[in-house]
Order: sequence, then structure tokens, then C-alpha cells
Amino acid sequence: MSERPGIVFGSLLAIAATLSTLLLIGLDTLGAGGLASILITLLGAFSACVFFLVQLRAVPLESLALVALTSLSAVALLRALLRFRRQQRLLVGIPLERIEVSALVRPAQASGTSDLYLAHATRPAAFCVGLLHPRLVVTSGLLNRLTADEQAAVIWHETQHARLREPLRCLIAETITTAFFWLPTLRDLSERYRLTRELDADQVAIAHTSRRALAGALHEVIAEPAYAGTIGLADAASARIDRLFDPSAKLPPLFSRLRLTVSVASIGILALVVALPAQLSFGENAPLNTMLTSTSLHGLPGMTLGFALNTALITGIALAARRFGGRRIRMI
Amino acid sequence: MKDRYGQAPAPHTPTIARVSPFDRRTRRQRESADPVARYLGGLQAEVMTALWQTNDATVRDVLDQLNRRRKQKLAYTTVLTLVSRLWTRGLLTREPDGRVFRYRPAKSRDELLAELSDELIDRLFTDFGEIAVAQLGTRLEALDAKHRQALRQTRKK
Repeated sequence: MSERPGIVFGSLLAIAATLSTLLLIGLDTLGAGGLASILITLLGAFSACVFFLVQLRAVPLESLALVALTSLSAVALLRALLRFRRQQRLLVGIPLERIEVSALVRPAQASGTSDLYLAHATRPAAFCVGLLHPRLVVTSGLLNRLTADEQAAVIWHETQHARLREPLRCLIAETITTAFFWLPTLRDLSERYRLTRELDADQVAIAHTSRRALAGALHEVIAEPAYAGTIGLADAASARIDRLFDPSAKLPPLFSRLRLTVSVASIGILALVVALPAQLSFGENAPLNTMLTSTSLHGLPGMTLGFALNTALITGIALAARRFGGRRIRMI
Repeated sequence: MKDRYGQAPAPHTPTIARVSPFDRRTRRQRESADPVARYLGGLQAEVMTALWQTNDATVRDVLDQLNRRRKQKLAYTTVLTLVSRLWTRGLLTREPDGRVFRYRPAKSRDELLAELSDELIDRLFTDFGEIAVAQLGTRLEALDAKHRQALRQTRKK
């Protein structure tokens, strides 16, 4: 079951759809007025205004959790899309030269529909990009190191990715895992999806060339072991090579225990939130109305200052974490 | 005696494609047909092209060449700034010749493009992981020595 990339990807999509629906149902029970009041209260509390902080205690915990969770997910989603945009800009900058697939692969039907581009770089790399019309990119550095058979293996492997529009699926999977970061088990699913789709493409490449050709190509493309110690990833990498030699080799366990525990807890909280919708009528909330209508009570300049200070603080911490924590930091 | 002016200012990382997270380049520059112009900008790319053609020139020579087919002439100081920026980036070398410097390209156009491609491909994978890219050796950098050995032996057979 867990070895079919289609099924893994499908379950990822299904979970994402269910979660979004749950969140929307939860928000719906709050109503527009209630939602707006909670958001304003949260924003006010973020400015460290004492009045809003006190007001926060009056808001039911579950609706607070719901609104906070949804906002965080929305921000994460936005960030994933921004990252994708920056990546596309970078891709546009790489100088590419179009070449004919038939120059590399003897039976020309390998070409399929995708275009092949050559990048004049010394780094050995081969990849597939483009959402709707995937393109294959190979570097001259890689081609120079490979025999004709191995080059064909690379093209077959990547063509399989292009045919299934892997870049698009990859973007969807990455967006889902980033947006629902509070359900870390999705990361396991997405990793499993990556592994199984590579195994599939490997099989296609072996069927059209040979195991030896693919092994040679993989050997040349592997970077130096720069990130030694990433245990989960090492397991997946070993499994892929094991499969090369033994088609029935076992894959690593699908779920990590820590991620599963955290996810179950998150689901539990979310279920509670949706099951016990908060009955709020913020329209008659006298203190909040007073605060919003007479800003002189606590002073708009003071609130703005508090807001700016908090934003600066959080930004500073985030930047420091990125600077000193390395790029490989992931949530859980 | 060591030449005081001949060397580019001390050790800087010779990055060509450095772009801040908030990319302020115009769309025209980003998607320019000349890959060198995408990162150096149109004018600096023109200077590089001129120097690749002559291979050895003073700022005055570059100025003359750039102005040859220009209605709106460039000023000497403009080209001086462009040239010295390229020199700071490590793309040009220079040696004093009388009262002026003679500049030479530090690398050929092909070398520069290869370096640029290397830098961009490196960044593609280190900065963005695999958000919308299917890479051949994905996740294999974590492979242990035993499996690497197995791959190498299969290839040699």
C-alpha cells in the first residue's frame, strides 16, 4: 500500500482537504463578527496592550486556538508560495541551451513530450522543472562523466518524472506540509512520496537501460556527504540503493514516533475545537467595543509602538535562527 | 615591490549571481536575453562584451567602443564606475600603464557562464530544497559509505 506513489500522494491530498474543511467549519461556527473580534483582540494583545491582554482571558480557549491555527497555516502557505516564486526567478536566470533528446537516447521514443536543456555547468546534476510543461535539465558536467548508456538512464529517469508532472505534485506536497506544519506526520507522508516516486522512475530507467547504467549515473550525481547525521534521510537513501539490487528490499518505517505523537495531539485539539464550538456574541461585548471606539483609553501611538516592538523582536529572533541555526532547521 | 593597485580588494567571495531575498531587479533585467546581463545589468554586461572583444583596454578605449553606436553618449566617469565595479567583483584584472590602468577580463565569457550556472544550480538545491524540482540524486547525499561502495562496484563490473 505505502509503496505506490499515487496512493501516498492521494492520502496526502485527502488529509489536507479534510483539515481545511474542519478549519473552515470551525471558523463558520464562530461567525464573521466573532471572528473579527477575536482577530482584533489577538492583534491588540500582540501589541502588548494590557487591556487587550485582559480581554484575551475572556475569549474561549478553543476558538482562540482555532483562529491562531488558521492564521499560522495561512502565513505558512503564503511563505511556501513566495519561496516557489523566488525559486522560479532563480531558474529563469540559468543559461540553458536546448538539445535534442535523440542525441543522447538511441530509441527516440524516450523523448515523449518533454524538452531537454543543457546547462553549461561543471556540477553534476539532472533535474526536471516546470509545472505544466516540465522540462529536463542536465549539466554538461554530468554528461561528460557518463557513458552513453548512463546518459540514457538519466534521461529515462527524468522523463518518467516529467510525464507524471512531478514538479507540480512536488509543489503541492510541499505546500501542504508547510501549511499544516502542526501535523508533522504529513512530512513523513511527503518523504515517503518522494522515495516511492524515485523508486518508480528508477525502475523505468532500469527497464530501458540497465541496472549498471543507472548505478553509474547515480554514483556520479551524488554530492559529497555534506549532511552526515540526518538519520531519517540516510535510511531513505539506503533503501533506494537497496531496491536497485533487490526489488523486494524493505523500506524504512513510514511514520516516525515523535511526529505521530505530535500529530495525534494536534488532531485531538482540533477535534475538540470543532466539536465544542464557542458560542460568542461579540456584538454585545462592551469592553471590546469601548476599547475599539475610544482609542484614547490606551493610546493609539502606544499600541503602534508595542506592535512595532513585538514585530521587530520576532523578526530578529527569526533572522538570528536562520543565521546561526543553519538552513536545515525544520519544525520537528 | 608589490603593486599597490594591481590586485582586487582582499578576499571576497567571487559571487556573480548574488541577489538579495527581495529581488529589486526589473523584469526586463531578470529575463534579459543575455544571461550575463541578468546579473550584471545591461551596461556592465556591455562593458564585459567590449573587453572580451579587445581583451585589453583602458577605460577610454571602452568608452569609445560603447559610444560608437549610441546617440546619448556615456560620460567617462560612468564607464569608470562600471569598470571599477567589475574589477571589485573580480571579473577584471588591471595593471598600471603610465597614468591609467589597462584592464583585462579575468575569465572568458564561457568560463563566466559556467561559473554562473554552477552558482545558480548550487543555490537552487541549497536554498530551495526541492519545492518544485525533481532531481536525480534527491536525498542521496545522506548515503552511507557502504552503499556508495556498492554503486561504485556495480559500475566497474
